[in-house]
Amino acid sequence: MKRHYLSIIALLGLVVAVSILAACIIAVEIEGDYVEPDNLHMSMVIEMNGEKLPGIEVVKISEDVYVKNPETQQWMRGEDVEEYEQYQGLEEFALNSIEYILAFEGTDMLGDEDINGIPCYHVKGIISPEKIPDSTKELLSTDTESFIAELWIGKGDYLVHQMMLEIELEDAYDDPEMTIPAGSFTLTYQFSRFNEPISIEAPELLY
Amino acid sequence: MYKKLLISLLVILSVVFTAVLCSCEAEEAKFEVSNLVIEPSTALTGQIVPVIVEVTNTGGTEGTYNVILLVDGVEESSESVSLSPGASETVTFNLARDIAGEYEIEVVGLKGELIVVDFGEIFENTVQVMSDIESYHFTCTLEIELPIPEDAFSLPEELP
Repeated sequence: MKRHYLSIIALLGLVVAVSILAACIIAVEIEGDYVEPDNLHMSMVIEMNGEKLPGIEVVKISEDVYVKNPETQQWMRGEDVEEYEQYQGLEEFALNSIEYILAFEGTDMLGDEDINGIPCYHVKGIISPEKIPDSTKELLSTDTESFIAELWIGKGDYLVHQMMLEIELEDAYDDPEMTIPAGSFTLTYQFSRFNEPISIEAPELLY
Repeated sequence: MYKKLLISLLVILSVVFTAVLCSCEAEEAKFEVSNLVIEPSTALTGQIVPVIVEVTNTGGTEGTYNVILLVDGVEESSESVSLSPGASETVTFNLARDIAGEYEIEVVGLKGELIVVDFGEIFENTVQVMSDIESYHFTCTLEIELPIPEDAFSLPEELP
């Protein structure tokens, strides 16, 4: 099972739990820091059709996940926090962002654009699953031929300051027990504070 | 008597002269070219970039005008437009360059610039600098749009 579809399934589960809607827009906002090789500290909030669910704070150090319980504000192991289920897997999008960039194939320049005051080339292209490293490949559906992607590359520093991925959900999930209508999801990243000193440490647990 | 006749003659002559003058002016088509747009103004090598101008016939009669696109002073392409009096038309030239550089674009006196960059070179630099990144701050927005039909998540029917 592809992990990021698990996340989407979890989100869809929420949709069912809340109500049956004629159309649904789910937005997830993630903000945080990344330190090589796989340390993350981030906060996540899910919004469904304008209604925000309780946000959570996550620290991921290698395979260990720590979550701040939104009710008690105490740090716990991820599996012990019920609310984390809705967010589980979403951290993969943050962990794999650089790999998406490295697999980018540019096709068109869309022009010049400033991102947070930095002059950038705005380039459109695709991300082909064949070019994605094995660690990321399992996140992507083999049914998907390629993703539309846009990069904003700094003219002076060549860093990627913004990235947008557009992924079609059609035929992406084939569990015969569930029918998920076709749709699409868009991932927009902004990157900053490159190589600035960031410390991510395991929080003290409640027990 | 002669004086009245002379005045009438002068009036008729001036009317005829004015009419002839007007018809002569109306015969002439006059063209104005405006609104040069080069979008995007920075492109990748080989990428087709539309160079757009608007041509208006400000004269009194229909006419044909030859719009010429110059790149670095050399004719690249031309297009003829036939317009009725007062009519406008958008002329689009599709321009592509295989060599990176700065190109001066000119269409009937209107000037602009097209910068062509080699994406392979840019991306090579990007891969290099991004590979050296060890930490960063990020924001990530994930938006899922699902046109969910009412029966999309119906529960299975109970068995009898």
